[in-house]
Amino acid sequence: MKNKQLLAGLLAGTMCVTLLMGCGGTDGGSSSAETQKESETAVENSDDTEKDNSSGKKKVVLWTWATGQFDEVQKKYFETHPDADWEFEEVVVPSEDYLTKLQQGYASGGDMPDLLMGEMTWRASAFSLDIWENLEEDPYNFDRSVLFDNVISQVSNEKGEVVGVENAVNPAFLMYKRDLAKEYLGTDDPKELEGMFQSYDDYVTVGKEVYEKSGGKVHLFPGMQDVANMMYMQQRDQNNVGDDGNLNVLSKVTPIFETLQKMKENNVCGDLTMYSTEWNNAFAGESAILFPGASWSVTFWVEAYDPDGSAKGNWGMCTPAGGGFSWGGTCYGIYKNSDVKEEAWDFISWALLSEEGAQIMKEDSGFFLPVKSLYEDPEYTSGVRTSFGNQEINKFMTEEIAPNIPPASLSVYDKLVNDSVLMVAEMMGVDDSLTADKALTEFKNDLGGKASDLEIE
Amino acid sequence: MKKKNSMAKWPFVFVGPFVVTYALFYLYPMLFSFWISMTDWTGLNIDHKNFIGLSNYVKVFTDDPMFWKSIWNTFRIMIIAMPLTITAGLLMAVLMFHIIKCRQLVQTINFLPYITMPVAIGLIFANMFNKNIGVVNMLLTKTGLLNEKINWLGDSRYAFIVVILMCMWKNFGYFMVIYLSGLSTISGEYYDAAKVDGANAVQRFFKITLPLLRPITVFVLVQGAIGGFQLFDEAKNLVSGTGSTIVGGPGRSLLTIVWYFYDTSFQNNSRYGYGAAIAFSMTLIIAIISFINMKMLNRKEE
Repeated sequence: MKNKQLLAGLLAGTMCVTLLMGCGGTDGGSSSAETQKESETAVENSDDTEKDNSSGKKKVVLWTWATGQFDEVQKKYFETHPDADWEFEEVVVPSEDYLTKLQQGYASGGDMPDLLMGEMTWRASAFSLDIWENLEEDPYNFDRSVLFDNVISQVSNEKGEVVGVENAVNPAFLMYKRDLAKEYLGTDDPKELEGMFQSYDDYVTVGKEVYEKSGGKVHLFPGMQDVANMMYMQQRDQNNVGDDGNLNVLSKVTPIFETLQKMKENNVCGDLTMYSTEWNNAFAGESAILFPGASWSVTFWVEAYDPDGSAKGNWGMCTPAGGGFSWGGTCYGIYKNSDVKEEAWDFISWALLSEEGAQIMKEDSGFFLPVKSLYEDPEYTSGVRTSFGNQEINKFMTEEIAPNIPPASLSVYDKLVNDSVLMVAEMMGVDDSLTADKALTEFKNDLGGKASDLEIE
Repeated sequence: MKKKNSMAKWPFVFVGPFVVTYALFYLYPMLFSFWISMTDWTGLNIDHKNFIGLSNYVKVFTDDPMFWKSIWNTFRIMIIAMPLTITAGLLMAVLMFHIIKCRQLVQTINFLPYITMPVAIGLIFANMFNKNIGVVNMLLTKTGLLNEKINWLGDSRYAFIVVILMCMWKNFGYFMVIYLSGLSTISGEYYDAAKVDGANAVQRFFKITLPLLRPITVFVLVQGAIGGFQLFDEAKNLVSGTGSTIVGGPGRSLLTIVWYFYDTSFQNNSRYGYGAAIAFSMTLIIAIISFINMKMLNRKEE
């Protein structure tokens, strides 16, 4: 009997220990704790990481949705920095979940990356978290004057502190398929196309002709969202929040919906949803001529989705009506409780601020860094890509588009506004009864539902 | 007496781990979420949680059109999908009950969708209902039923139909298995007696099978209602399967209540407090509907 009791006791004890071990990784108290306690917990966690690291090489962890983007850079970095006694580790976090993961990781005192990323559409929200190091202070002492002036607002938090380094200028423009442009527009010369499209009404006029000439098979743009997105991005210098704190967006979106209505009535756009499989296929297909894109689109869209056309140099780029704009953009910063801050900064500043890093970023990803000094060297901006034939696209992007991009004005509501614009644009594409007025009402209802504390003006 | 006392601790020792686990992983998170629902905690102001009482609940029920839209979307999908799925499951179960050959094979085939990954189902349906390359439009146009291809997934008027079909396809096998187990409990004597009295197959189904399956139907209805209100994976995976990044699909027509909760809590600027209030409001609605469901069916039984 005694043995049985002992056995039962041991079993019960084992169960409890197992359970408690399972709970050990989580600090239940931290979630309900106040600011100070949360920060302390985060520091404790980073201390844990330090202990882990001390057993082997230190690790600089980057949470990223663009895995492999630094493969070449880090290879070269470690070649040129033989004393660097640490490892670079990427953890995949999808862009759409990134902000949430940061918020939850920080709030729960869980694992956080050493290197942080901030995507343009939700960057202002990410900057509102007190997790970023001020890069202008010790030990970084970053000099903001090395960057283009129009980039500073994109990498600064509400206090005006520079907390990130931008990975590219991200000039955006129109890309076109040369064979289709010749056939339906009569030319594939970028200057002639720019002359042809001076305003959005020109797209409507020409788009109608293209549709009729092709027997309804070819549209000027693949979908309504492409145009909506381009028009929205062209106005990114206007903040979505007005002086009174309300959403000041109607003057921005009204012309978008009016243009879309005209385009819908004249079959200027196809019915493809941006980023859908069919939309990807349209790059290699013959259903659309013009594709709004940015510097990164060359590598990640044109060459990825249309390898045959790229090999033949079937692509061209020109300035759209309304001018060049900036699209996308990712910045990198340092987590305030990281225990490898200096290593992380050494790497990221080498990759995104040095000449060697800039060269690799340009050749490997087609990214032009927003560092002023790089542009003093004509070699940096020269160069062609097979996909765009003999067109000097690097010069075009860096000399014609980039200098004229107005600085982006960020707000925490950017993601919501962008989502509503694209949603209504998609609806206009399929619903003939949705006029610009109705679309605006739909937009107001939708955005109002998501940000019901604010007035939409 | 002494021996009895020494034994009294053992129930606590054995029940203890469960109680502790329950308290840690169920009770505490639930109470904590309820407390959060009465704060203005957001991801933008993550270091501050101010107590605001029932304000979030007042806003959810009186000043949040998106909440009601998501309720309506969920209800619309559920009210159509559930009866169709239950009917299909019941008919298939009755049919299967009388099949002798290959019964288990057919049963397994019908049950497979239920255990298929929701992501895979989303991708399969997104491809099938793709406007230009989907097999559904191809069949409809080739057979002459349609002159023009339908934009099933881009048009809010059709997208919800695809979700209904997805829900039916996924769940009817499960309902079928539940009904099959119910059918096996009905004594064959009832059917023999009915046959002697001259009842045909349809009469036997409506007068014997259906009434005796009432407890199963109550269970299936309550399960279906709860599952329907938790609809999320199917709609989200369908939209993601098309490559779209729009929350709630075309015109937000697929924005179900759980998707809205997810978007509010974890995507849309992470409004944790408000999101928790949506979750508890949803729980309240599910509880009321389940209660009404059971009351109505039980009353009929009485």
